[in-house]
Amino acid sequence: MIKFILNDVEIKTDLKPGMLLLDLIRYNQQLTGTKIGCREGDCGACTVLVGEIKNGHLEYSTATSCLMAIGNACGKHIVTIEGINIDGLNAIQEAFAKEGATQCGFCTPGFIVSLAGFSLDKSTPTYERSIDAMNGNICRCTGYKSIERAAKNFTEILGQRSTQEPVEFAVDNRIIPAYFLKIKERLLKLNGQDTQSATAGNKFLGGGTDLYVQQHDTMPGEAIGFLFDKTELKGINQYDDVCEIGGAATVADIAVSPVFQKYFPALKEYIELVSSTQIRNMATVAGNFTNASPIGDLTIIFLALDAKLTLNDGAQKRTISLRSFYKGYKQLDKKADEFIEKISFVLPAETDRFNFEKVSKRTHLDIASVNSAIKISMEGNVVSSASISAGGVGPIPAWLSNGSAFLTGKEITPENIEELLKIVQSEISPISDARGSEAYKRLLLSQLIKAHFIKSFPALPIQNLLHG
Amino acid sequence: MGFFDDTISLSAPPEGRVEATAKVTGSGKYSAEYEVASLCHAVLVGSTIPAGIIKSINVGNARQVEGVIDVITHLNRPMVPAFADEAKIKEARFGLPVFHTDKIYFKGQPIAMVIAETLEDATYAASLITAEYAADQFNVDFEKSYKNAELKTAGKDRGTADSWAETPSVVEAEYTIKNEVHNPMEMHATIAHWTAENELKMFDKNQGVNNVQRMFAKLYNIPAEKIHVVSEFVGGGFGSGLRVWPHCLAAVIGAKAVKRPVKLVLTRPQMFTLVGYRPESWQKVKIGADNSGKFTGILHQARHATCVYDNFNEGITRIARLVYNFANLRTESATVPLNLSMPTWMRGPGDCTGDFAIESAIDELSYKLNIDPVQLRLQNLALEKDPDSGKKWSTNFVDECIKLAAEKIQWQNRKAAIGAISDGDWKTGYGMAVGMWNAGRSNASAGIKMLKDGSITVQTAMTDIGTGTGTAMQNIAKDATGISKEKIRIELGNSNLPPAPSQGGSTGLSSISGAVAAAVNALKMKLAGFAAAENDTYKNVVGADIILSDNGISYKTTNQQFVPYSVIWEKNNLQVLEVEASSAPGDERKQLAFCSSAAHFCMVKVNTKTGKIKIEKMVCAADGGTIVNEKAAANQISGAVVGGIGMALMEEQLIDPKLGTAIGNDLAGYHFAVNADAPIVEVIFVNKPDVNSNPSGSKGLGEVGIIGAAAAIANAIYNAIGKRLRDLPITPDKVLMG
Ligand SMILES: Cc1cc2nc3c(=O)[nH]c(=O)nc-3n(C[C@H](O)[C@H](O)[C@H](O)COP(=O)(O)OP(=O)(O)OC[C@H]3O[C@@H](n4cnc5c(N)ncnc54)[C@H](O)[C@@H]3O)c2cc1C
Ligand code: FES
Ligand code: FES
Repeated sequence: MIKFILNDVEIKTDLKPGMLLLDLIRYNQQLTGTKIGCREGDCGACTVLVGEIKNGHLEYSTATSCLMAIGNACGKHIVTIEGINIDGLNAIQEAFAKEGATQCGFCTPGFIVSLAGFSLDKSTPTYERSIDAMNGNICRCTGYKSIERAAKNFTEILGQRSTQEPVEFAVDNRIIPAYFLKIKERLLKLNGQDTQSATAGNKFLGGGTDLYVQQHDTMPGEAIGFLFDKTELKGINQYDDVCEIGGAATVADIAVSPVFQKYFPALKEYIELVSSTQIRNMATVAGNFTNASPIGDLTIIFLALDAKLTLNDGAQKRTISLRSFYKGYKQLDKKADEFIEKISFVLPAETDRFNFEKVSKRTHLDIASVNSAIKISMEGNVVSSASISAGGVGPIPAWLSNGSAFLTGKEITPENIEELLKIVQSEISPISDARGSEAYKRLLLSQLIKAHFIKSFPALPIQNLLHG
Repeated sequence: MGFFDDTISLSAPPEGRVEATAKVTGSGKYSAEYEVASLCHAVLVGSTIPAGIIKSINVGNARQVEGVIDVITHLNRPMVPAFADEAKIKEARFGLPVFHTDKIYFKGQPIAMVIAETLEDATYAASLITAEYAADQFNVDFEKSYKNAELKTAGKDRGTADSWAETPSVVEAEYTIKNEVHNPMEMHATIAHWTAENELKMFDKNQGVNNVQRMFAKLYNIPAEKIHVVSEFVGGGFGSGLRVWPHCLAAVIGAKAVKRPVKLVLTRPQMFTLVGYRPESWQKVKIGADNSGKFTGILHQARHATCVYDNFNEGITRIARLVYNFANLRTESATVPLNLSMPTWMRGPGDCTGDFAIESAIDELSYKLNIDPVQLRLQNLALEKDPDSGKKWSTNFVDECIKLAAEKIQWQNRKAAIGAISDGDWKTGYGMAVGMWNAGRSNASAGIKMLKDGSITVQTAMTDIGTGTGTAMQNIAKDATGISKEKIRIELGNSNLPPAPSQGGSTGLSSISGAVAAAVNALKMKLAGFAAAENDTYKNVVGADIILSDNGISYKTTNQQFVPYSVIWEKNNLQVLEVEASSAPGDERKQLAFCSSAAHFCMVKVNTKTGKIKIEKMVCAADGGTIVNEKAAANQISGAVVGGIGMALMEEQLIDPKLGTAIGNDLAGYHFAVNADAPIVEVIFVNKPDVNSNPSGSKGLGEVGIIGAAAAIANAIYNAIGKRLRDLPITPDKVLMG
């Protein structure tokens, strides 16, 4: 039996755990404030809040309900626009009404729920964060300017929060209804019960942001192996110079991980290039690897970092390199009953350089035309080891072994970079498609590799070469 | 639930739109969201080939699925009377005679429809339907075929075609734009319900309920009054709701077949093939000027795609005839039939496309002449009269738009030299363009219901697709009556209300403001009729002398000769006082020409290494006559400008020429601007009344916000990097490789 709290109501249902939360909300519960604009995670019209108890605290994040299985809602608090309506208008709604930030209104509930998620986040509420919170919501009418003004006005209210618990502050300030104050207690009670019938299938499900796009119609009927909420697959930890990421850790977990923040100073920039706030809250790193897209951003980053995967089939474990995981287009070195339990890699040393670049057609919410990552270790002026990866330039996410080998033992000079680019061009095989012609992708990868060096070695006299 | 949300108690209504509460709380009901007893669900099955004849359809497996009620095809559908034979089908001018032909004209054409108890069952059953076809040759390749479409003159020539071709400066170039798709956030949806043998009720997403009503009256040969269309909340349209599409008729046919209400909601991929798009186009512009920069002549040629089962011509060359003085002018056009679905009007139809070419060409000319593009335009504008009709403009402030916007963006910071402003790999450029649109007005009517407490409900059948019709009506009614906003309710988007034109082509506000003013006048005269029994002053009055307040009627100034509503109501035993009035444009439309206009200015940054384009700022100064509600109007323009960014930089619907299939037909594949793509947008209004336009002095603003935006951006990119990019959208690969 699946149990969770939907707004103020406890849901107990025997519906298939693979059913989509959006369908339950709209068709089962007739809560039509949650809209459907795409059913693929691309528009945010179906955004809901997901509240769960983490380390003893009730924390809320946002998710696109069109990609979320109800099996992933077990024991959580799911909130739709109806669940944040209060008597009168709440502070977010008031800001939207006042600024005319709703035109046709179809995107509006999604934007408002995203801002509600922002208001319940414990980080300091800044205007920039409010805008980030809505980066998974698209609007065809307003041009976003009125929405930005509404967010700005609303953020000012949040600015008065200081040390108060976000939920309490939000209730006190007419942002959410008072029933939220009882949710923690209710969830604790609910979680004491058996919240989900055991499902043990080989169809492993992380956040569902890939599976529900690809196999939308058949997923509800599958025998799903739910991994997303398995405690033993959670967490990002450091053991000496090794970092271990759980098989269910999300991109959002990486974004807030102190380990990553410490070792990757430009982390925020990279993360911003990946999908959207809602999707990052759901998307797991392991899912990114396993969907085997040739342009998966996390895959490209971790190829450069030479990550190792621990695969588990329920009885036995084995560890392989991510670099050897990809056998051919969407073919993996993975048996059907194996799941990724753990991802580990050696953290960059102080003298190492790491960089990630991505070009896509649109600023946000877009997969890469070409992306690339690099990790370089230096001994004095000489490269002691190099690792370059690239996506969108072949059938599988590529680790550029020849290019990486060439660079080792070399100095960073314009001539060597030119030579590197030649080698790289000979080990990729991009094809022309909607994301660009073959020639364009070749040129783009060269430009991105040049950008790696410019960013990683700002002091070296290589800047000139790299123009044009 | 009304356009006002009555279920939520508010001490005072929020600022902003009348329907804001319903929208921000998620309680407003869009077409697919109505609960109708014994509703069933329909799913369309599309053809898998782009041209040919259906030989057979295998529906057996689908019928076996539990919950399936019926499967409709051309072999078993209840006949639509207007489609009785080929001749009648032609006469009906409906476009695709869905389920009444075995011919296939485009890939994805509905060939069957499953009706089931649940959407899930219907979707699953639909996936089991297969068909056999006799496939025909097909063509979906605009690029390869446009040359074969013979150009014909579009409008009268001016002067001579070639006398100017030798003038000192001539530029000539070709421009292309890919298909663009409206993609409003709400999917098109219809709930069709035959409430009696010949009585139809529909909840339908569209931009004009009366248009839908008339179409079904014609198709089923029943009186329009027997057809009730509700479209109260419409999640955007941008033109896609101006026609009655096949899926809408399919739902009606389905409801007839199963004798139950049927709901049909399109999927996002179906939104790319079943509800129109802006067709792919090719243009050539040749334009000349003498050394002083005076335009000597223009040749504008345009071809765009259409479908093979109907014709659509959007008039791309119209704008060449409108904005500037050209002593010599020739415009030519042609359509190119392809095995694609029917294109349709999309925001700024025709003009948006034509404007991109012309305003790019003028920019190119300015560099050739070494004259500032602002100056070049100012000295060639046709400010006195519409050069085509010869009629005097009622008002035309496009010159003021240009000056206002130039000042706002600080045009003086622009450098004529290419790439003169740079920061590492990022080059900054400035560009500008103008846009213009015929400011039309149609017949419309409105009604008012008044209660004893002085509250009124203003009604019209017109839809509000996000354009703010309801709010504008409330503002106009408030100003015209003197009754406070809190007491004015709005009802709209319902064919039972006084008829009105569709919300499209920026005519909505112009048309409805006349109607509301007329209804207010009728209300005043009716109240005066009753008041005359109490006070002789009212025996011989005109509407202009009457002032209403929340409590009663006065003469000339507030509280003078005051007669309270309560007295009128009690004496006459009234419950509700009702009036209805209509208004139509008058002779002024015969004597004068009307236009709205805008100047778009853009500041852009282009990365020469990655081809990334970052628009820093867009300024749009617009002339829409009197601005009834500044915030709403500015929001409307911002939205259109950001739509223009989509057109310039990312929107394109690609078609696989070998298969005839739409590529990337979802929101992951078809990109429009996300928030991060939207730059600073500054909007300025000339805000001068056009008293001939309509009683409120306004002119439509819906289209001019996008017409010109794409050219301004392309021109700014040229100024930054010296590449003249003439193929939209301008994606990073074109910047890098172009
Ligand atoms: C709107 C949108 C935008 C996106 N943008 C980006 C982007 O910018 N960059 C990008 O890289 N990706 C993007 N994606 C793709 C997707 O979000 C990522 O690939 C994500 O990381 C997948 O993780 P998941 O947990 O949601 O995968 P799921 O859908 O749950 O699973 C994906 C695959 O991985 C398998 N799997 C999941 N977890 C495990 C495990 N622990 N062990 C073994 N197999 C497992 C599943 O069986 C399935 O085959 C986007 C997706 C959407 C919907
Ligand atoms: S419906 Fe578009 S993100 Fe869910
Ligand atoms: S208001 Fe229409 S999509 Fe945002």
